[in-house]
Amino acid sequence: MDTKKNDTTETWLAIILGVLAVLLVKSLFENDDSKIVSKKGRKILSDQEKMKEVNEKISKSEKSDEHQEIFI
Amino acid sequence: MDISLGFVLILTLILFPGLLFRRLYFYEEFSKQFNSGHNLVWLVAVSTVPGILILLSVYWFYSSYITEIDLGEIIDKFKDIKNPDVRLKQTNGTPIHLLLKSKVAPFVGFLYLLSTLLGLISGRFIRLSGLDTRFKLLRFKNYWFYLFNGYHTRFKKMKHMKEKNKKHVFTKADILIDSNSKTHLYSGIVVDYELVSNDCTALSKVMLQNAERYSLKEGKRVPVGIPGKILVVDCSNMKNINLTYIYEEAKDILKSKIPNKVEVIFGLIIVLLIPVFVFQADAIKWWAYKSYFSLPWYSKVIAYFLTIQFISLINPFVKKRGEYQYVNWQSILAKIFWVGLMILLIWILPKTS
Repeated sequence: MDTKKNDTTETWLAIILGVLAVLLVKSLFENDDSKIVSKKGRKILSDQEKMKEVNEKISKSEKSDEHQEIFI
Repeated sequence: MDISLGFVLILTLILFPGLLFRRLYFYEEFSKQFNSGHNLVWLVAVSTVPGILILLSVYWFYSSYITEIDLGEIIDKFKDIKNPDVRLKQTNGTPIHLLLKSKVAPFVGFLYLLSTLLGLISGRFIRLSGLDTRFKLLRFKNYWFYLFNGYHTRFKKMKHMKEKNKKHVFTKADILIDSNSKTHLYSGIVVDYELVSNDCTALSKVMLQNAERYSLKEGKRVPVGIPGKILVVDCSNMKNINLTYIYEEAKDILKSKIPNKVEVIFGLIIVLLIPVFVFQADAIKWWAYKSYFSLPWYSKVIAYFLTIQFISLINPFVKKRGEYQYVNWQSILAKIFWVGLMILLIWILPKTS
């Protein structure tokens, strides 16, 4: 493969596309959903009423003999 | 201390880029894996492998697509530097400061830039694509991350626990602590955790919200609320931990992680297309490909956006006000309009630079 020397316009093209690449890499960072508490979870944790409901469901599940998944 | 030139070269071209890559690869929750439980010799040894791989790939890419590197010239200069009989000021050829400024510095800069980018992207890509849950080789050592997030159900050995149409909300932990031969049971919602600094597999602390402790009353174990917002449980004497996962129904595909993953994949494709549009490979003989590189820069930019629009036509999801929706006919027609307009622009604009 021959080496191509970039001229000024191609440098500008590379800069524009580079900026786009940075923006897209930024979106990769923002889309990281590896969180211990989900977005909905954070809302529930700050809502006393909802938390009571959740605690009731958890204690009901703990008392029952069969293992049940807890859904809210 | 006598430091040889060869050592400086290995340090600059292999060890530092390798260390940089490793430091950024193990991000956030996994950052302790970078140096956990290992000494400097081990750290240098494991950084050598990515360091060599990055150096070789960058050398090939730089030499093929950016500017050819004359290794002979560089090696000769090194021989001159090491030879005590040679006076660099009296030698012919490129002066050493020019060689450093025009050839060495751009290459080293490019090497460090790519090591940084590769480190930043690869760790996150492995996590977001779920490759770490599928392949043990790629799995991060912080096992607690997978347990607290409910990702362990994607492991081959624990796949039987996985249920469809559910989305993890948070995890409740019951932690049994042994203190002065007395056991204490604490429970609450796990909001954060800390690992032991020199052992990234061991829990140091767990932060619990809505925390309770259990005490014996009339022979029965009853929960007693703990005042305060967050309870930090020291896990150095942890006996065992019981985790209960709280899920929400994920009936709708739009509320699942699929649209997010599709967006990430499309984003990566768009990034990976950039070098294809900037650097010409002579091995590709297609007429359209060769015509593209004869276009002026503004037509090349339009051609790149045209390709992105074409690719985005197959993305069935669109994000509006932070929520995903299916692409409607209006959006498809708008995209087709933009595609048509860009083809027209390339057609009208001058064909040569």
